Amino acid sequence: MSTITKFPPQIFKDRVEQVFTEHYNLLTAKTDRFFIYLLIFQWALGIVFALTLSPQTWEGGESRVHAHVYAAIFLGGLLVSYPALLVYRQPGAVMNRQTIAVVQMLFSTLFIHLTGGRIETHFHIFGSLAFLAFYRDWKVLLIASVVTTLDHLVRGFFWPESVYGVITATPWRAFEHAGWVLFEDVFLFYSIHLARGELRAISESQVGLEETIATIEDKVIERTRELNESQQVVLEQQQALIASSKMSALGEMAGGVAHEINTPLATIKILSEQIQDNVNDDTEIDKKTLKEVMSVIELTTDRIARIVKGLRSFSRDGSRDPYEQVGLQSLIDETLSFCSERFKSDGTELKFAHLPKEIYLQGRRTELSQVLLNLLNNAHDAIQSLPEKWIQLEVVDQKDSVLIHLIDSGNGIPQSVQNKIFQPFFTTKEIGKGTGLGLSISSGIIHSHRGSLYVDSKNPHTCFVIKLPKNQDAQIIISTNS
Amino acid sequence: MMANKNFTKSLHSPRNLLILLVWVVLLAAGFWRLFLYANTPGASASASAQWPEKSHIARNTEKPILIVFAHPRCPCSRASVGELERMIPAVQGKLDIEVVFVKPKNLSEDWAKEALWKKAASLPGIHVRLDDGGVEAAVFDAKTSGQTFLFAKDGSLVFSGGITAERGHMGDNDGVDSILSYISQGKAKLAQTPVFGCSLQNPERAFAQEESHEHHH
Repeated sequence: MSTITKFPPQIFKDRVEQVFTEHYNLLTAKTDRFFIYLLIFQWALGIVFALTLSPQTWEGGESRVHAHVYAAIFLGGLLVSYPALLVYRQPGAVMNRQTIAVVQMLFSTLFIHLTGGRIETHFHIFGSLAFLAFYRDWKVLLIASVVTTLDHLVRGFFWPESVYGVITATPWRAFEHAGWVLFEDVFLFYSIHLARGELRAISESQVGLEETIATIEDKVIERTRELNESQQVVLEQQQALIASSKMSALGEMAGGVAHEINTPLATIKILSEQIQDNVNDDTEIDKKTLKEVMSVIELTTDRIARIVKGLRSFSRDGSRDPYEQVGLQSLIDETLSFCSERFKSDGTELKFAHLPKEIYLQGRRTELSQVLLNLLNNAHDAIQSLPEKWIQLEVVDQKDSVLIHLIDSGNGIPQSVQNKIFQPFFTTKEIGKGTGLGLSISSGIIHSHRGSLYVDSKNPHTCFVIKLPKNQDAQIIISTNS
Repeated sequence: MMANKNFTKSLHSPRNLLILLVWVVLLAAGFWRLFLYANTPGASASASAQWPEKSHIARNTEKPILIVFAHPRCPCSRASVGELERMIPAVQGKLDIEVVFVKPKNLSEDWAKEALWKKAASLPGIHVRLDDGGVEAAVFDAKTSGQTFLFAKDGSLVFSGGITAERGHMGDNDGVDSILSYISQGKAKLAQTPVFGCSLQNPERAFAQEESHEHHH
């Protein structure tokens, strides 16, 4: 969708300028430091020259320290001082290298004086020009060339006449020297030009690289965004699936509940029909019998009411409920009431031994009930085709926790599948028969209660175990439900 | 030269300009002093127009003679000896060259026969002589090391002066040019040039002719 990122031409140019300047400043700062070391070395060298070649001046038999020695020490030191100060304060600045250009050529002058104009000392001039070219700045070279030429010319032309009114040296040699300086300069100017061109090319390369990186970064951002979008879609789909699974579970349960309600309703219908028949027949109704019948109707109505109430509370999203004191016996009873009739009707035997005394634990009543029902339904579905169909509930009271075993008559869960069953969307049922979310949701609920839900593979039959801590260290709200 | 963009420390503040100014002035003064020193000649000889009779130096009347007075330890005269060396190819056989090293009486011969002596002595066609106490120097009125005289065959003075352009500096100079022009064309370019070198005389402006002068360095 997007093309390569390209900096607008002016931005590119400006950035190249910036990069070039950065590189160049590093170079000049480094060269500045190099020159300070060189200047200090030359200062020392000057002193050595003076002390070796002209340590004393004589008047007859008397000697004094030669003026050259003073010149070497003080003039040399002076030459080094100001550039050193400049470089220390601001390495790489333009002023530094221009000053150094002048100072370096003045060192040539000093050396020539100290060594009595030896021709070899003039080599220092040519060497210095080459060193100054390190700055890759043609103005520096120009300044140095001008200084060194002026020095010769001044001595040749401008030194006033000697005592005898005669200039003591010819200027033509100065012109020849200037010529050789020019000769070297031509090469050095050209090499500076090339070096700067190279530096510029490097800078352009670098900015090109920055452009490429920017392109890549843009692409990454784009892809990440696309990835996030599709992730979002997947998330939404998952949630829809979870919601629909809840709906289907609810639907399943509604069907179960309807069945649960039908049976007591039938009982009420039969009994009330019986009374009605007796009334119509004018048969004598025994008061004792009437009392019994009414009591059964009352109990049965209560039972229906409980189922309906349970259904209302069961179908809520209980994950945000506060922890409450839950009685395990009453929880199991209530949950069983949603499915016991259905089980009975298709021949599934429910075995649950009444607890000797109530066991209390802190938890979210609605959620725990959902988990139990999920396991019961799973067990029921799993043993449908088996000859022997029963489901057994066992509770083990440990000191700080409680174990609920849910065993069905099935033959256990194959090892290969045991790890996967708690994963979302995993199901061994046919398409349309189960969303595969039940166990993963149940597992999530139990984990949020800091408990664990697992398969007991040692049991020959299919055995699910819920382990729950009794204490959640939470503020308890006493439940108004029984 | 776009490199200066990033330097914000102003080099043009008054304080910085003052430092720069002071530095430039000191530097200029220093180099001026150096130039001055290099171009201040020593005292020249007020020489006679003829070969002095009082001189004990033997003179060959067949050839012109170049006589150079030098202080044995004068660093500047190294340049003069260097100039002599440069002249040799042009003047060999046509000129007698005598280098007179002036030794103060109170100093030893070893003091005098150092590098400069040895160098001069090694040059072909050059005769070296020790002037103990500056006797000859007084005769010729040579006050400064490097004082050179060129006398013609007949003893007349052709040239008197120095053979370096500056104190202690080798290189083209009118003194050498004058000598060479005389040898080749019979006419000296100049009759006089300034002499750059140490004083052959003591600070009291006298030659150390007596042993009683006890100055040791």
